[in-house]
Amino acid sequence: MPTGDVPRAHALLAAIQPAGGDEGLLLKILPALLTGAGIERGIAVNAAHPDRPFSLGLSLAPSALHRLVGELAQSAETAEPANIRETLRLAARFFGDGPPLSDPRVIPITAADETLALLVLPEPPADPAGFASVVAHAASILAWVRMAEKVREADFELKYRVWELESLYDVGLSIAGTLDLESLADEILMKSVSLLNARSGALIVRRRDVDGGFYIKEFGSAFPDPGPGVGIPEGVCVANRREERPAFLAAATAEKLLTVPIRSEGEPIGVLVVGDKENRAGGIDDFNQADARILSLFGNQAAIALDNARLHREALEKERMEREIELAASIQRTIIPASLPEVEGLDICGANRPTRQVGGDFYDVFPLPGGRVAFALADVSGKGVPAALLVSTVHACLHVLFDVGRDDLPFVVARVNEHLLRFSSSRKFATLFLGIFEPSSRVMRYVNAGHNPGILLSGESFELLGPTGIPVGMFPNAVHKEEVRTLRASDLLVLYSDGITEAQDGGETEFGMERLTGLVLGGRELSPAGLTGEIFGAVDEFTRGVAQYDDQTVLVARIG
Amino acid sequence: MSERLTVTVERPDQIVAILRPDGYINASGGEEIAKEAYVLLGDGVVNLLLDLERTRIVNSIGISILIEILEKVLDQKGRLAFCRLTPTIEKTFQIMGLAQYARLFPAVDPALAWLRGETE
Repeated sequence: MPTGDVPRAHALLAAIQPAGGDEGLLLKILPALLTGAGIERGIAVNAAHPDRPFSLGLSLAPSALHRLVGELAQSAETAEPANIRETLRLAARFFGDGPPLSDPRVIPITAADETLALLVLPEPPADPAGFASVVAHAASILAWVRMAEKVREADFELKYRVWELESLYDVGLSIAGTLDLESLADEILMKSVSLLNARSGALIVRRRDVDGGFYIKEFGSAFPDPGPGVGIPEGVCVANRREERPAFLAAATAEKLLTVPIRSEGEPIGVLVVGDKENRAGGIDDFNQADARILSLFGNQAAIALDNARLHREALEKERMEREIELAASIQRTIIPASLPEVEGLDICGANRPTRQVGGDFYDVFPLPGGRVAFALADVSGKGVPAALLVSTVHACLHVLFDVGRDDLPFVVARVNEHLLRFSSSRKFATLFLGIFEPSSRVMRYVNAGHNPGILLSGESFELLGPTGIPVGMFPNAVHKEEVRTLRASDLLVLYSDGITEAQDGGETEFGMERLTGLVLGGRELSPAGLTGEIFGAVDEFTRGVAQYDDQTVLVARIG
Repeated sequence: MSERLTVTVERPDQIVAILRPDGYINASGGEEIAKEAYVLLGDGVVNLLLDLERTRIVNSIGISILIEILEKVLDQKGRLAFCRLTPTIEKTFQIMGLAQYARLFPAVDPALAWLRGETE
């Protein structure tokens, strides 16, 4: 019968420093327990870590020890009599390699009804009562360490939750503080991967500028472009098995995936996905609903960031367009004459109403040598700055040619045509009504390059002065014929742009030539300024506030 | 195929050692760091500097391993310092309590000075 040294066992236990966690604590406790039992060999199994048994006095290979003690721990998990008997049977096998066992014992080390560890002895302790006090002492140490470990774990968990909240808060601040989508995507992805203990992750968002293409920000493993025609997952997807993953992520190399949708204006535009949630042992755990909740929060943040970036882009585009419109308007303001020159024998008035989108109408009057006067009304294609620049080009051409004394209208129009073809971008052209009036002879020469017919009112009759050639800027070598009319005193010439005749009411009915000619006939006694006002007033009454999309220009001349 | 962490170790003298991890401090990354740190502690080098210039992401498992390294360093009456952390990792270390017993520095030199006991 062995002899136990209970006092020495207590002294050994009292000397144990449990700091630094309970890993190996049993290895420190086991010698004291064996001393108290008066036995030289034994096994201790921590109930919390049955995979890490400790033994003394045994020469078994670690793998055999591990396997057998694993079985011991499993069978004695509840420390119930049936399990204890099974444990003893296994213990007999375990100690079978040494001297024969006469009476093996499994002694649960318990505190507050919880089995903290198992001690397996090949025979009973020498002094059961004294040994019981040693076991109780050992149990108190284990319980203290276990409690300390739980506190540590709770503390870590609490800090982890704070970290989680702070991360979400930081992403929110970043979203508010920057519109750099690349850095925001990186931050959201890194925080998602980090907080979910994932090994990899990706932010995959449909690109607006490429049909069917995706912007992919990935980390840790490959998340290939799903390709065109593959639907974006609409909901949260916990895919711990390959067959559970959506087709959208079929080619992702991670084993397990957790995916949440990123929505914009209610529609899924992409996903935030993390792959392979690792554990402390180096393995991969399943993703769960708690993980899905956290990732959904980051997914929502990503959606906000993307929406902000989109709205910012749209605001910038709107601002750019408004700047362009303002620039175009300012160009046009410099071209439309503030007042027309006084011309002997001719009463002339012009007016232009640019639309919000700024088109390309202009008119001008150019005094020429010998009391003659040239006049022009043009309408260039397109809107905005390009149209305004084209107006500027046509206007400058006319000024230069008239300034150098060229008054051969077909030649002038041909030069403008060549200039536009050479220096303007393709598909840019202008219609132009260009005329020269000589007050002394009342002879008017004109060229109509694809413009609306001018209205010439003479006495009771009127004539439409239709196109004598195609618009300028369309084709090289275009021919523009000059027409000549000899006018009489009080004759009225009305030029206008299609913004007048094509002005629409709410039913998309156009103002039309008939209304305009009727208006001109009815207002034949009016001054040019009066008739101009009458025309604009009639158009306004007709359109009744419906927004118009083309400039409206009128030039009226009465022969003196 | 995750982003693998590598660690280079520099031992300028017998008092301190500098560990330079490059990559994700997760379970495997943390173990790589721990392996090198425990070799150093076994050699009696108990003042360790982790230069995190090439680390931009850490997870909670990586942090728990760093805490274990810290505990072992403190058990041996040594010091542990971190330097050149990203703002995100620095904040994480503050929240998770690593900064309570280890020191964080913006650069290598002041960290080495503290580890050598030249500054407090």
